[in-house]
Amino acid sequence: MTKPQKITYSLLSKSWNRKPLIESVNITATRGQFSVLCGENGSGKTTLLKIMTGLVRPDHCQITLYEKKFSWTRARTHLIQHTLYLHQTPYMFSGSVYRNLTLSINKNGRSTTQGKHIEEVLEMAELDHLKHESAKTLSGGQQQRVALARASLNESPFLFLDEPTANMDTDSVNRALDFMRELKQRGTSILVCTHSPEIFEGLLDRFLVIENHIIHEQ
Amino acid sequence: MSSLTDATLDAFHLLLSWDPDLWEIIGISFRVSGTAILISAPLALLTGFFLAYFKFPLRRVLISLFNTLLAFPAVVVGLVVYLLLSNQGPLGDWKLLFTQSAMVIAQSILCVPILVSMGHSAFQAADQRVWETARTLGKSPIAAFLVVVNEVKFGLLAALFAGFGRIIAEVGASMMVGGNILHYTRNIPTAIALETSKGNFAQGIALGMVLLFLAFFLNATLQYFQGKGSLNH
Repeated sequence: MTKPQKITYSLLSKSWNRKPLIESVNITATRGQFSVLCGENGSGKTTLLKIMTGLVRPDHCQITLYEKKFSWTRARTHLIQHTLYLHQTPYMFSGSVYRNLTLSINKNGRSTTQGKHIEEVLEMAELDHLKHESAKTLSGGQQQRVALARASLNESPFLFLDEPTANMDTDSVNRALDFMRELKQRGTSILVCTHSPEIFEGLLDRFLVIENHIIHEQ
Repeated sequence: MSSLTDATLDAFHLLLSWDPDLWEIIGISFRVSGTAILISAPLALLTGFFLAYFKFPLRRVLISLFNTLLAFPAVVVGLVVYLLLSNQGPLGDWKLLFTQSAMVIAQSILCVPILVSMGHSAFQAADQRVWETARTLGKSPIAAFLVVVNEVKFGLLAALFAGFGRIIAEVGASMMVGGNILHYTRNIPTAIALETSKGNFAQGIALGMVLLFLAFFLNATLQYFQGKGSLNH
């Protein structure tokens, strides 16, 4: 199946404990576009990203994919297939860094060039010297880089990153930005939730703010 | 005191001389309890997973129910299975009473609450990110479930060992639905009860030692894997 060029989410709403969290939001993710989403703590950024990636069920949402409209439930398989959500504190599976990367690779059915491809990504993320280390013992910044490498191997055309630089020092932030630039140049759509939008100035195409349950573009 | 020492020495002799009656009883115990755990584990652990990862009506009631069933007396399970399988019972036509199959049914029922409760705790120990990460990496629900299982394997292993330990050592249900028939449904705990009542302490002690060794073996195995896991993360 060809990868979609864009995904449009219409009238996306979600309540939590009977209080509205997100109300009738319309948002489009487009290949090659880098977007930043800001908002206060508890404004619904994480929930929005999880809905957009098929992980959390919304109260209402219509998806437009391949120029066709679907309900969120019907589009869920496509969302899981074509999007990737990266947690603020990414989960590292037990085992080595290398094993964590192998768990990512099945999405596009790679097999013969698997090992070679992992080595390339390890080098690109400057993780090659850590490949046999236990992923759970790495620092927060290193784990974020492993998660980004895992995302890159996954080849999802739409990435949704939740505070990807929160645990990183300046050096790690620069490496992560280089990595994201590379992904963007390959045509990946990236939407980043952050409290520090200035970090992403050089990559930014679109700046979004979530406020009072709705999204404004600035 | 000397009679206890003599009985213990006789017990060692019975075990080491490969006494056929004794080892047949041990074989029946392992076969019945092993089959029971194999039958009940998949469904019980899957139930524990659903209780830990998904929200649905009556979820909390179900968790409380399974936790309550942990204290369910084995003899009551035996009574219920007996009533179901007896000639006048709804499943009387199956002619399973006083067979190993009846013992397997009773032991499966007995270990389900342990497997569900301990499985639920093990799955709960792995946070939601495990499932979400596996799913967002494109794993199917079944493949994501297997990834979660791998992350909590030591907790699940502990659940399996605890369940097996409980059913291989229980006497009430096996006695009631198995009937303690020599060469057929006599297992370790029912044999210990019988031999002790006959004053044949050596065989009782020998079988008791097998249960103790089994408990030690299961715990040592768990410790070994847990230690290995914590070193390798």
